[in-house]
Amino acid sequence: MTEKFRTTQGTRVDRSNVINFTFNGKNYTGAKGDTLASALVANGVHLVGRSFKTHRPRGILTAGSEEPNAIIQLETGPRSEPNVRATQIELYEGLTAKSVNCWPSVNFDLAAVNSVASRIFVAGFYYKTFMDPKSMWMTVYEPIIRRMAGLGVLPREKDPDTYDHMNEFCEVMVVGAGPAGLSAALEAGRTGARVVLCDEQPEFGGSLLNTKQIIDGKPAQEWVDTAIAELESMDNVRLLKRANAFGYYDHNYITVHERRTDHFGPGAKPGLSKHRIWHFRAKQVVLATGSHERPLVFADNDRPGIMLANAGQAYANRYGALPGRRGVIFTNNDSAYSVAIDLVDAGMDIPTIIDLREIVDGDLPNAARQKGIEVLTGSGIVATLGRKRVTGVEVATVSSDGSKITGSKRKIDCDTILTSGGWNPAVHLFSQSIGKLRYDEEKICFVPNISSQNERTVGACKGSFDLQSALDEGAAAGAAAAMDTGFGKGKAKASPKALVVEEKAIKAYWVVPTDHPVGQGKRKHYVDYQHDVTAADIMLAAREGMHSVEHMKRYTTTGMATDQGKLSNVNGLAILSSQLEKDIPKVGTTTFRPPYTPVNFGALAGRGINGDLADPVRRTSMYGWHLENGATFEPVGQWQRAWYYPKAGEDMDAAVARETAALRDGVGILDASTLGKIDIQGKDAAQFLNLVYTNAWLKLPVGSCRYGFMLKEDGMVFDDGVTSRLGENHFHMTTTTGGAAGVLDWLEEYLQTEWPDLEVYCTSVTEEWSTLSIGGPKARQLLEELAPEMDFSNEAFPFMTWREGEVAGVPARVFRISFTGDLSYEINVRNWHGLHLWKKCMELGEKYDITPYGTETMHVLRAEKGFVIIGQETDGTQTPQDLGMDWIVAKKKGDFIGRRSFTREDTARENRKQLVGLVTENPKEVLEEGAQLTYERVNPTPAPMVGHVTSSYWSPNLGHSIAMALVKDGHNRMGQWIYAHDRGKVTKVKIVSPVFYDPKGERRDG
Amino acid sequence: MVDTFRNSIIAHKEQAMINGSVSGDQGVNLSEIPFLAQVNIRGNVEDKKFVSAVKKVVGVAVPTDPNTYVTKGDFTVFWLGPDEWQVVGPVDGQDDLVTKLRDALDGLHVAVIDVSGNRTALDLTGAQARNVMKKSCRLDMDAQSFTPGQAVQTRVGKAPVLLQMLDDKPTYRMFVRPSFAEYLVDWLLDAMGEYHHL
Repeated sequence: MTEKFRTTQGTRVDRSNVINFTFNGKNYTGAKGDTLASALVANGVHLVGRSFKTHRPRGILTAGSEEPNAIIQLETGPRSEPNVRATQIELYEGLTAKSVNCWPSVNFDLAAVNSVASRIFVAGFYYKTFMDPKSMWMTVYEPIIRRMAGLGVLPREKDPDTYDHMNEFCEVMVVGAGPAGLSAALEAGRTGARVVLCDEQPEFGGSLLNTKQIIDGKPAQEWVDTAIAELESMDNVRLLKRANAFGYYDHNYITVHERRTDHFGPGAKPGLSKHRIWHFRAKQVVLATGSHERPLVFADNDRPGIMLANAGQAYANRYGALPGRRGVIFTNNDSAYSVAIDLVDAGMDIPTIIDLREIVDGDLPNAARQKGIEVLTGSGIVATLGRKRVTGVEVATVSSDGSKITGSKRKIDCDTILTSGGWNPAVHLFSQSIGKLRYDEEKICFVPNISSQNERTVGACKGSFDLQSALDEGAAAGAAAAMDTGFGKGKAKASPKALVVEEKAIKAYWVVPTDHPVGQGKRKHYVDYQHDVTAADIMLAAREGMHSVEHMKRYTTTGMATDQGKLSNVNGLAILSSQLEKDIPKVGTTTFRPPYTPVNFGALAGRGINGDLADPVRRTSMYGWHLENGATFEPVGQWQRAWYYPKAGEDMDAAVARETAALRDGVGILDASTLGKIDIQGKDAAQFLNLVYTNAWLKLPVGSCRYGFMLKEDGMVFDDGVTSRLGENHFHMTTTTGGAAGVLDWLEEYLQTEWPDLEVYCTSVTEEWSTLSIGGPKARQLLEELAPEMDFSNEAFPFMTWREGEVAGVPARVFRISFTGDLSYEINVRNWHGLHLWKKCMELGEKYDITPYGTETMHVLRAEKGFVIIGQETDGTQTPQDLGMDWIVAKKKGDFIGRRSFTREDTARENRKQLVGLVTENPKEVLEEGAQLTYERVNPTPAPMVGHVTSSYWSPNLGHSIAMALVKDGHNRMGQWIYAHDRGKVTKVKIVSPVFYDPKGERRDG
Repeated sequence: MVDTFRNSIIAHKEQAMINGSVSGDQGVNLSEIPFLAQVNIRGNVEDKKFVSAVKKVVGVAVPTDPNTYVTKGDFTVFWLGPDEWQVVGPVDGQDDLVTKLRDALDGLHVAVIDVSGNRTALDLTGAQARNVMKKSCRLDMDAQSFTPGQAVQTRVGKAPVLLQMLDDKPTYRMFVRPSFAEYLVDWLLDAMGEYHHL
C-alpha cells in the first residue's frame, strides 16, 4: 500500500477498491469512498494551495463544505471545473486535479514574494491603493487586480454536459441527514406525508459518519443503516444525496443543487444531466444542517498540517487516513478531547493537548489523560514552526483576557495541529429564511431564535450539540411538522438512547497572544483563510472607523470569499466587538445570502440555455414552407417572421427590390398570420368599439371594415388595426403583432372595471386563423381563380369590405384591405389550412410570377404610402394629431378613451413633434434610422435636437430614398431643409408629406 | 368527409416523437392528437337558461369549480374562467357543435366561437410522464394534488398551455397554441431524453 497514512480503521472506505488519481501532476492511489481530500491526507499530502493575497502555503483545513483552502481545479478541457472543494469531490478512477492560485506550482510559487510584502496588503488595501487617478481604474488597476485575484480558470470551450431543473412539492422538507435530520424524516415519513430528505454528502449519517458514537448500545452506524433502510422503503419519502440546499426563500421555497454524475467521472453518464437544481415548495421545513467547528485564531495558524479537530477525527474514523504522525490539539472546549482519544486509538501520537481553560476536569479530558495524553491548562499555542508543513509549536501559559503570554515558552515537535474553538450552528438557511438569531453566551455561538416561516430547527443547528438532543428534537419536529400539514398525530416514537458524555463549559478566547502585539510583528493571526484576512486587519478596520459589522466585512473582505466565511465570520465579529468594547449581540452578524456553497452557472441555467429551448420560437402554419424556400427570418417578439426571400446571388437590397416591384406590378404574397385577432361580440359590441377607438363605429355596415386607433388614457396612440363587422353584434378586431396580448388585456380590464354593464365578450382568436395577404395589380385575377364562386369585382367587393366564402376548397374570410397601397386581399383560413392555401396560391400564381415577400418589403411598401407602424413611428408619446391623422378622431361621437387628454396643455400645445416625410438632398443616400435632427447645420453645444428619423428605406419603386421622422413643428415646416446627424455625418434633408407614393390612392382598386 | 387540405403544424415532428418516446413500463410516450373540435363558450353561469341550454347540447352542465373539467360522452367541458369554458369534442365535430350551441343559446348574452384551429393537443403518458412534467411545470404534479378532473392554464417549459390531467397512467394532455407547438415538442423530447438511459 502506497498510502502511507492509511490505517485499517476507516469505516467508510473500501481499501480493496483502489482508485488511481493525479494531483498537481503526481500519481496517487486512493480507495473507494474517499474524497479527493481524504485520499491526499492518506498520501500525506497537505500542501494543496496558496493563499489568495500573500500566496502563503495552505493545507487541508476541514473535511466538509466549509473548506477555505483546498480549492482546486478539477479536470482539464471543456469539462474542467474551477474552485471546487477537494473535501467534497468523491474520488473516481482517473481523476485529475490541480491547485489554483499558484504559479508555476504549489511548491514553488513566484507570487509568494507577496508574503514578504504582506504589510502592504492590509485592510482596505484595494480601496487605498487603487483610487487615483480615476483614469487608471479600467486600464491599469482592474487588470492587475484580476490577475492577482485569480482563482481557477473557466474552460473556454462549450460545456458538453447538460443540467436540468425539477419542481417538487412536499409536506415536510428535511435538510440535513445527520442524526436529527434522519429522526425527523423517519417520524414525518411514517405519517404518510410527502417527505424530502436531502444532504450535501454522498452518504447519509452526518456527524455520525465521522465520530464513534453509541446508540442503543451499538455503534451509531447500525442505527443509521436501519433508519436509511426504513426511509428507502417508504414511497412517500424522497431521498437526495449529494444535494446541497443552497437557498431558502419566501413561502418555504428551497433550492437544492444535486450533483448527479460527478462521482462517476467526467462524461461517464451520457444522457443524464450532470447537475440538477430542485425547486422544492414545502409546507413545513425541518432544518437539521448541523454545525461547523470554529478555528482558534493564533499566531501563524495557517500552516499546512493545521486542521480543525473534527476534520482530523473524520479523516481517521471515516476514511482511515491519519492527518499526521504526531499531533497536538489546541482547544477551548471538551469536544476536541474525543478527537484526541480517537486519533490515539487510530495509531497517531498525540503527546499534548493545549487547553485555554484554566480548569479542565470533564469526563472527556480525564479519559484523555488516562490515555497518557498531557493536558496543558490555561495555555495557548503562541507560535508555529515550519513552512510547507508545520514542524512544531511553541506553547505557553497565557492570560485569561488574551492580552499576553504569562509563562515561559516551550517547544513541542509535531506535524499536525488540531484546533477547536467551539462550534457554529450552520444557521445559513435559517437566516436566509429571515429567521432571527440569538447569541448564546454559554455556548459562544449564534443560535436560531425566532422562525419567520413554517420551519423548525433541530440538533446541532439549534445549538443542541449532544447526540440525544439531536435524536429527540429531530423526531419531535418531524412528527409535529407532519401533523401541521394534516398527517399523523404529532407524537414521535420514543427516541433511541444515545450514550452521552457530559461536556464542561467552553471558554470564549478570540485571539491567542504571541510574543509581539497582534499586527506588529511577523506572525499572522488568520481569521479568513481564503481571503487572507488577519485579526490585525479587523483591528485596523475598527480603528479606521468601520464600526458596523457590514462595513468591517466589506473593508477587510472577511467572509466574502467563495466559502462565504463559514469559518471566519463569528471570529471576525468577535474580534470587532472586543475592539469596540461592545457585546457580541450588539455588533450582530452580517446577512446570510444564498448560495450556501457555490452553484455552477450551468446548473442555474438548466435547459433554458440551449438554442431553441432558451425562449419559445413561435412559428406560423406556413413557417416550414418559408424555411424550405430560403427565407431569412426576422424575430418579432417571439415570432420568427419571413424577412425576405433571397434568390441565388441576391443580397437583401436586391431581394427587396424584386419583391417590392412584384407588389407594384404583379402579385405578391405575405404571411401575415402573426397579427393579433380578437373576436368581439355582444349587443353592446359596437358601442364598446366606439369607446376604445377614436373614430365612429355605430354605423359601420355589416360586411365592412374600418381602420382604428386606440389611445391610452393620456391620449397617446398605443395600438392600431382594422376591425370588421361580422354581424350586427359581432366584430373581428385585428391588432399589431406585438400588441395582441396587451390589447386583449386592455379590453378585458375596461370591460371588467369601467363598463361592467356592457354586454360584450372578447376572445383571442389570433391563432385560430392563418392570414395570407395577396397584393398587387394581379391579385384579383389570382383570387378569382382561387375562389371561382366569389365575386371580386370592385362593385361587389369594394375596398374596406369583407366576404365569406370558400377559397382553394376551404372556408375563408377574405378582407379587402391594404397595407401596401395597391389592390390587396387578406385571406383568413383556419390555422390548419394555412399551408394548403399558401401552396395553392403559389401553384395558381406561378403564371403571374407570384412573389413571396417578407416583412422588409412590407415595411418599404407601407412607408411609401406613409402608413405608420405602432412602436416604430410611435413610442407612446404621439397623439393621432401628431401623426397627421386628425381625421381618425371623431369630433361628435362623444367620449372615448384618451379624448379628455386632448385638452391637456401639453397635448394641445404648438410645436409638438409631428410625423413628416424626409427626402435627402442626394436621392441615393439612405438615412440611418434613429438619426437625430436639427434645424441648422451647425449648432451650439448642446445641440437643440428637434426630432429623429423613425423609418428609412431605399424605395426601388420611386428610385430614391424615403424616410419618416418625428420633427418639432414638422407640419408647419413642409418644404424646409433640415439636417440629420449620424455619428458625425451630417445630411441635408427636406421635410415633405410622408405619403410618397400614389397620394390620391388610385392604385388600391387594381 | 375527410378534410385532405389540413395539416398539423407539427406533422413533421411525428417521427421525432416516436423516436423520443421510451417504451416499457418505465417509459414515456409523446404524441399529437390533432384536429380536435374545440369551441369556446362565454356566458353567465347564474343564468339557468344558459346552463341548461349548454347541458342540452353537450350532455353535462358547465363546471363552476376553477381548474376543473367534466366529460360526458364525446364532449369534455373545461372551466377556463368564471364566464368562460372550452368544449372539446371529436375530430370534425366543431361545425355541428357550434350550430347546436348557437341555436340553443339564441337570444342570450353569450359568445360561441369555433377555436378548433387555435390549439392542438399533445399527450404525454407513461410512468415517467410525471417526472417530465416536473421538469417542465412549476405546479404540483403529484398524483394526490393534480388528479383526473383537473385542468390548469399554466406554462410547460415557456409555452402557455391548457394542461389537462387525463388519467392515472398518468396522461397529461396539453392544449397548446400552434405557434408554440414545435417549441413545446422540442422541450418535452429534451426532458424525456434521460429516460432512454435509465
